[in-house]
Amino acid sequence: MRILFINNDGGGYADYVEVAAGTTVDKFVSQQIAGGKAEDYLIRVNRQPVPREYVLQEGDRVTVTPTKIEGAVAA
Amino acid sequence: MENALSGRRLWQVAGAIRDRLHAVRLSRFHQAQGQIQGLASDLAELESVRRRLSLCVARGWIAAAGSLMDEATRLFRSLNYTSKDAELALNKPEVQIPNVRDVLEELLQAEEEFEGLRYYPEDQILAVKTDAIELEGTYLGDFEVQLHIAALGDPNFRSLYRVVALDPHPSSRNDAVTHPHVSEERLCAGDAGAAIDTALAGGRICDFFILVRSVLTNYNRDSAYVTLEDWDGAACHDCGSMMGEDDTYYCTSCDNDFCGECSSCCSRCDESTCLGCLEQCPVCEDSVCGGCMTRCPECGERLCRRCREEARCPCLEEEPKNEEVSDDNDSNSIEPACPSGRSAAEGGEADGAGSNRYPDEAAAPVAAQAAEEGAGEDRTSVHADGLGQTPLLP
Repeated sequence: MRILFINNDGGGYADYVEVAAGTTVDKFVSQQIAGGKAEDYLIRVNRQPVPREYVLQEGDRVTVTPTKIEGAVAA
Repeated sequence: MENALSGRRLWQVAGAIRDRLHAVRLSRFHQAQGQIQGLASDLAELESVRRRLSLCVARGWIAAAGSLMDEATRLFRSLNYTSKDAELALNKPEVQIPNVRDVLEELLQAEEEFEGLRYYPEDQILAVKTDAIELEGTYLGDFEVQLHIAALGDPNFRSLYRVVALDPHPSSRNDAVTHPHVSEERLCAGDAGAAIDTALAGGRICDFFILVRSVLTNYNRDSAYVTLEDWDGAACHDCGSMMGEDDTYYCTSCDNDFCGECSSCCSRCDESTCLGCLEQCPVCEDSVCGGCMTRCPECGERLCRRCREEARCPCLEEEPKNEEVSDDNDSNSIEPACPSGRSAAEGGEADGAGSNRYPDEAAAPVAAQAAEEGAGEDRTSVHADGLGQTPLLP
């Protein structure tokens, strides 16, 4: 099934991705964010907070945003 | 005047954001149109060159054909640049513009995430407030993130968004720095920069606010306007007093920071130097840094470079005195000769000055000089054992 995935980690792209039916949001995030921990991200499905074991549905909108991002001094 | 967003106002703001994003997309098309137009103009000119070149070749006009070749070369160079610019403009990733409902949902989500959304209609500013931020024990207060809707997509706008300290606890070193990554209300987004740009381009207003908050709630000590360690001011390396940024002086000798009371500058190179690293030249008594101190090549004593260059070391001034004293002891009965032929004593009396014009210390060199200037064949050689017995001059 197809869902909209908005990854605000790094470049911040938004794209449709295929996921297997029955995939939980926790599993999906682990697959998409290599080496990242779910607790380091703000995860929203259809703009709402959901539990880890929420099972993704066709057409869901998943947003993943890091909660800690390094700022810098302007060059 | 700020307003909490009511339902109707929410729709108006969502519509304004959507219209602004639509205008940005249109301006991109306009830009691409300009690039393609430039390329088309060059191609038209190239076609003209081609027609004229054909005519010149047919009629054997060699010189004219040569000029056209130069013109064609110039056009090809221009085509190279214009085609690349056009390609870049056309290949810019197309961002889907959300409809008004999508933007409205973004605003509603931002309202929930941040416990309220504010709108300043006169400036078209949309704002959210963060919780109070404390980083590694340093309290910074809460901040308002303000987004200028009218500036969306405008590269000429100085600051698309600002981070305003509502309860400022700025650094002691620079009161414009209210957060390690915020200076003069401008956030340096660092790793979040690209994601913020993409979120705004796509009208994902809530994602933008969340990304800014993620930067504010994190501390990157390797790239801060003022580090948290220096937030309350740096301490003078000497007296320990806390210093503001304007009262901090860096010693180029020991690489430490000092207050104005504990630092000065080198009298030679003007480099900022702490009082501990400054040395007093024993000759000129000026304060100089270690880099401007050197040693006398004769006696090895420390003195400043200028005194060395000007040969002002006391040991160099004492040497002639020592030679004059030893010669004078060996020639007590010899009257030193003046260049004019008169003795020093006679010279002194003639002057009537009442003082010896040629003091004893100068007698030996004067005698030597007079001996050299004396007549050749009448000169009587002087031997050491003959001193005092043979006149030096006829």
